[in-house]
Amino acid sequence: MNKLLQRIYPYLFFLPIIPFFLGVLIYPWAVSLFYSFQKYKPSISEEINFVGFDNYIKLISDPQFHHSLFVTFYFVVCAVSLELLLGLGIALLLDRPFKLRQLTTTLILVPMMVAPSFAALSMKQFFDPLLGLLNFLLPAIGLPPLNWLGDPNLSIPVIVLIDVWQNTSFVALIILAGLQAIPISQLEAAVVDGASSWELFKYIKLPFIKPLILLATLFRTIFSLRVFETVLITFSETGGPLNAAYVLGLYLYWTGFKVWDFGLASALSWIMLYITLSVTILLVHALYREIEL
Amino acid sequence: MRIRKRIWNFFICILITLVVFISIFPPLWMFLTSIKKPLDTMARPPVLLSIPPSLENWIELFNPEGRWEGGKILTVMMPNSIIASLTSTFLTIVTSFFAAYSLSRFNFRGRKPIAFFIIATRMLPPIATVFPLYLLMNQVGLRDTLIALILVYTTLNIPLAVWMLKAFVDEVPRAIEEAALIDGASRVYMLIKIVLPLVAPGLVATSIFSFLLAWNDFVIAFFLTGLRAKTLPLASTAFMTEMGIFWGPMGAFGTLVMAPAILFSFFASKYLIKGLTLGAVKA
Repeated sequence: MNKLLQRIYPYLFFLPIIPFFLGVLIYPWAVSLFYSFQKYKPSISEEINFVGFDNYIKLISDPQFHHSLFVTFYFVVCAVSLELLLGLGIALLLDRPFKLRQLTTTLILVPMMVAPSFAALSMKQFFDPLLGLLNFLLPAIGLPPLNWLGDPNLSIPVIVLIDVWQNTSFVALIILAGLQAIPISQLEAAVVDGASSWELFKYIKLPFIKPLILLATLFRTIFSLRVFETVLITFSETGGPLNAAYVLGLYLYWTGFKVWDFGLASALSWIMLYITLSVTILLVHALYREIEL
Repeated sequence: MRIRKRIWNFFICILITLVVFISIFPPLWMFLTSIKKPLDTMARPPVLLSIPPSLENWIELFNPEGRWEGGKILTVMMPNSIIASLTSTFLTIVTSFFAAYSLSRFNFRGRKPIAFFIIATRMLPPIATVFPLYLLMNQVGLRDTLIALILVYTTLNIPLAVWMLKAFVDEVPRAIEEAALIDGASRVYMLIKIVLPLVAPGLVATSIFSFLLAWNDFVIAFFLTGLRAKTLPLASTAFMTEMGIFWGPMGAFGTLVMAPAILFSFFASKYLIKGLTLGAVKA
């Protein structure tokens, strides 16, 4: 009896989290998997009929879905690559001893802490075509004012800028932690051997922080795929002029809560899950080659 | 050579200042807008600060009979946000700590798959989760209740909390525990009396992250609540009306919601950065 207890002992520690995972995660996703194969439109009738893969086929052949998919990927690629580039730059900038360093990192943490909805709100104020600070500053440096919120070509860039403001610090802080974990002896040895700053970066720092860059990419990609309230608040539920920023999140909102097509919305939830999973597996695969997790 | 170096240092100084400035400017601007005279919030060119500052926007925001239903902000949304955030944080920490301890200290079959499963659930996009959750809460009659929000926030927080706490428990030397166990302490006693105080900074950092997820959440509350369980972030859309955007009261409201988040980051930045990067560096 005692031996059995000893064997199951480590598992007992997981008991408190199991009800949450079962009830709030696994069960609802299972229900939604069930609905994704049914025709269920509660606004029309309470009837639930099995329709096989119809919902998925309907989605995949819907041009609106293609548009949302494209817009979302466009946003993710732009936002994540900008965040990585700027984050790497900021990390290198901060990776040196200077006065007020503690204060600097504290202040850089601020964008990560505020709610995305309020980040969008406060930035919207700058983008306002008439009263915004940006259109007041652009002519001052000799550039024409832009119709930030009205020009469909600028819709995604606006969302990208808001996301970059909010999340670059995350990338910067993670890479910074990596830079500071490099043994000083290695850096000193390289300097003694006459390495230039570029060589120092390329041959010593970069290989060291490569797994962290991948990790930051993984997290940022997964988190920016779920963009929703930034667009909703900056552009309303239509996704801006000509639906230019109509991301997948808004499309789900439309199918589930505007048209009340529960079957379609469930299928879309699962497709979004698959997309996230495939991206994760792709990036984790790249990460595994770099380090032993 | 020395001059070149000084110019270079000066340049770096400017860049760092610029990064800091951009990081804090939007929230700062919101606060400044909130203490502008109402006319100055619509000024063109934009005014940085009204002199003297005015509290009119704040008074208008909290006016119970006013346009913004100040009464509701103070008596419904604020308590809802506080209760949902605090309760879910407490539940998150209490439940995650044990799982984190087990993952850190014991070697058992399925340890890696369990750890991986827990972190994998963090990858689930909440926006895709809202629909299944909506169906569930409707079914069990919990839609538009704080209980629903608390359950969801706790579940969403558990993966990050388990991983962060595990990283902090990893740092506590095993020898301390072994000594206590040899001295005849029970494991539960030792957990509470010895391990818990040693990971206090980790608990603080994890609690702040958990609190902020709930406090800042828009998506979950947007879909799962109606009038009764409405939380603060949901009111952010109220200031955009057909008559234009009311920047002044919006600034006051934004300041109100952002303040706790920013204060937290000031007081606990050291632990927060550690919590944020510990898992990443050690991964």
